[in-house]
Amino acid sequence: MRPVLKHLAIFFAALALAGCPRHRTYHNPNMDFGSVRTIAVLPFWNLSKDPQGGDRVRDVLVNALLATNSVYVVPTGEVARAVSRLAIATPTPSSEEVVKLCSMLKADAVVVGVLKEYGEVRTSSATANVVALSLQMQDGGTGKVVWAGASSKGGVGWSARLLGSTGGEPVNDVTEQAVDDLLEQLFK
Amino acid sequence: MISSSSSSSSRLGWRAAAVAVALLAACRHGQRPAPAPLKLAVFPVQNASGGAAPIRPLTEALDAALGARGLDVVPRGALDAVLAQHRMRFTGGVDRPMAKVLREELGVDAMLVPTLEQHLADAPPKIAISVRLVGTGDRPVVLWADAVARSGDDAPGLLARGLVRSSGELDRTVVGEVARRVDAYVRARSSGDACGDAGRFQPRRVFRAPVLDDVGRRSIAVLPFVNDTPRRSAGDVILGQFVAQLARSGSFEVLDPGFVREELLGYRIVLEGGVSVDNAVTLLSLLDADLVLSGYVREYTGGQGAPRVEFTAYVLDRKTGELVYSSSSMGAGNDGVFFFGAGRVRAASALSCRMVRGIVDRIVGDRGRSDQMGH
Repeated sequence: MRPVLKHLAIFFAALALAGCPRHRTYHNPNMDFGSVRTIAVLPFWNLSKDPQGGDRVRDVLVNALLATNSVYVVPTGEVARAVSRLAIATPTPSSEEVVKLCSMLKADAVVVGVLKEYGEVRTSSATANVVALSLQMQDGGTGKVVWAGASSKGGVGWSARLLGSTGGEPVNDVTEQAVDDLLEQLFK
Repeated sequence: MISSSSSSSSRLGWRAAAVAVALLAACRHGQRPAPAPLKLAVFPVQNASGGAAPIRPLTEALDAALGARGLDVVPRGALDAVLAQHRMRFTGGVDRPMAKVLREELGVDAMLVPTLEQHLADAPPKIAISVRLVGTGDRPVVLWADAVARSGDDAPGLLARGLVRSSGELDRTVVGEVARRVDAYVRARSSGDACGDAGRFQPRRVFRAPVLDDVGRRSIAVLPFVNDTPRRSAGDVILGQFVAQLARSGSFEVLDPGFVREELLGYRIVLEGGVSVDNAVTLLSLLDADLVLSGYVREYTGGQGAPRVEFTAYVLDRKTGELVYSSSSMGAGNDGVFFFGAGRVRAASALSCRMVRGIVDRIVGDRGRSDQMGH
């Protein structure tokens, strides 16, 4: 191969790899995920600027989990009652607290999460919505983390940068994309 | 003679034909008899608009509009006297003691509960009024419910000649339409309006358990929605619309929110952070109901811009103690609007009504109307 072509091939390969999403997912190899029938989703740790962002994303996740018809999700009111009774420090429960919570809710696992970004991001000439979320699943029997995943969707793309567009996709659509991505990682 | 005989036979023929037509008209096979007339009492308009609103003029206008249609309505003075005598102050719904008093002392068959969901006097004005008729039987259930929402710029027409700029004019139009619909129900038992196609405002992620197809699970209580918005009474508006659409579906027996409130207060049930299964089962036992519907309202904005509404709704089942329906909905009045504003929804109440309709249609699914099932 001629050196120019070779350099071009390397350049395009590097470009393609740079565009690939990098999933940092953890699955506990000893965990039987098929045995998880009931899940409790705790309120998320909200690091975004929107005070309601955590609840909104949690709603979308709960409905998306239920809509898979693979697992049952404990009603949020039931989770709130159990958290209050056990005086659990959400959104970061200890392993012992997770075991107690699952015992009270008759759940097989607990999902905790951190919402890192939710809402509009701005560059010099363009704005768009972005959602960045990471989730962990903790086993109800041992309190150990059995799955962890993260996803970030939306943001200002190259076309928006070039054309200076504003708005982008609605934040709810971006949230759904991020949640779908996480569920794909979980059920992989 | 011949002519005389001919004219007499022709007269007889005409008479026979007239009698036959009269008999056929009297028989009217397959048609239902006219429904029994209802004696109504009308509560003052409840203000769920989130701000100041001309409640007294609207109440008076509604009284006048219903009276003009010849409906049998208890005079306001008599109703106020009975409520004062029994120290009943809550007029946002009907509980059992109130139903008993109204039935026994005033002979009322059904209470009309009007709620003002939106009122903007600035041009273009916007107004939305929902009404429900609650039976005064031993279990106060919603017999019928409907809502009318209008914006001054709903139909601007050519050169904005159809634009309504006066709030008073729009108020009168809406009150007149409300009275017409109440009259239609009382005289012909026509069902409530479906407030437009839910189409683009359908919830996207839905969980619905097959248990909901069981027509044995019939009675449903709608609990207050948690209001996570800065707008006052947003939860009450969404609750009212769920009650209206569930009643319209004809598939459920919908308990009046006043009846639900009575039990919540009586047993001091606090719904902090949503409904827990324990709360739901306790409440459903007290109400002798099968299902409970509640949720959260995340956004409800409806000023002069495009309205935006976001909420989550879920249904819990008494028998299994599990969630049987859950969905999140988010919509804006200009969703899917591309050309010349065609199809834009201008009032928040109209938008939420269409979103709620989409959910109720999903909940009902293949159940159909209970009157078609022989209930």
